[in-house]
Amino acid sequence: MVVIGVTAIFASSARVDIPSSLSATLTDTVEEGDVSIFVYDEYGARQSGMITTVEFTFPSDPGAWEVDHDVPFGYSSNLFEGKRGILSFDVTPLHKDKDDVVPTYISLETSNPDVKVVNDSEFVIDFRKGYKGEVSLGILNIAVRKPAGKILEAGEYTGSISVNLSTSN
Amino acid sequence: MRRNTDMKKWFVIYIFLFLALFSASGEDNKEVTADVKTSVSGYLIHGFLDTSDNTLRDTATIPNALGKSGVDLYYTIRTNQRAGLIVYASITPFEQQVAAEDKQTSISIDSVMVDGKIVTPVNGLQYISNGQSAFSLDAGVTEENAVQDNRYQLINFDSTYGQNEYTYVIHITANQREVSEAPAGQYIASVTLSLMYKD
Repeated sequence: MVVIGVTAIFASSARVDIPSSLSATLTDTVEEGDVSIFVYDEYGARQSGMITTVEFTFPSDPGAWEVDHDVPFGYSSNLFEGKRGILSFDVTPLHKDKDDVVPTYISLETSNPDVKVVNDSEFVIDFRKGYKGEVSLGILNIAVRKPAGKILEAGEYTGSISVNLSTSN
Repeated sequence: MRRNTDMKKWFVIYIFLFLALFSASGEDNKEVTADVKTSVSGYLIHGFLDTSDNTLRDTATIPNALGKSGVDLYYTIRTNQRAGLIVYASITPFEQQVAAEDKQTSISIDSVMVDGKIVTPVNGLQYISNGQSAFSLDAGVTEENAVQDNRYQLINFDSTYGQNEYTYVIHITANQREVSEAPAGQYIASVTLSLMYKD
């Protein structure tokens, strides 16, 4: 009889060395977001898009009068590099028909040190690089003045404000 | 010629002895024992599992890691020894890649999960890895800065006989509020995984 003994020693009792540490890299990019201008309504609520309604209630006084409204503007952006922009405003008179027209006047004010008022109708803005979530630009004041002696026919008067932003690096 | 004759002669004798040996063992029931001994070496390896070919890698690069759904890292340990093991992780915040003179923005890690279970940062870690010089992380480590440094005890397990591969899914999510307010640019976070024996 031939007996062959096979003995396998499974895994020595000595601990094996701990392997080296591992390293993983997680990457991603936050995309650049261009300047987005927005406007607030008379209650301070941010409006979606660039549309808002400003309502004037004209006095019934036959003499001269003036009414005005503030329209705040702001912006958001996420720029790789800063750039300069000009936000210009153009307001039409309020009119009912060709004979019943009330002139409008605008003025601008700002407390933002990166914004300057130029020509009474433009904000010149230094848009800074980096994330800017909701930055106040300033306030557009729209005034409606009726001179003494002018008679306005009762009815609805309408007008519009056009706002244009141009930027340069 | 004579030498050849001698060789033939000896050859015959050898055969005879061989046959005699078997013949004798059959009659006398003698045993011939040959012991063969061998050993199977222990191994312990770990790595990021490449699910496409089931290989383990020492490094991994995961893109699109700032998304709100987070990213998965497949981490695998292979061993044939029975041992209690702990996996530690050091996960840095996402750092913005900027020029040296520019201010760098960080995006913190919001959550870390292993196989769907939240893992919170810990303090009191003693070693990063046996592969490095042992050093205490206790000195000056408070619970607060352990959180800030994002040190985690990810996995605590005992390997068992009959199973030699253990795979875990490590899910990492960036802080989405900070992502939404982060300056544009590229961001990188690093994840370092270290194994330790429990005792």
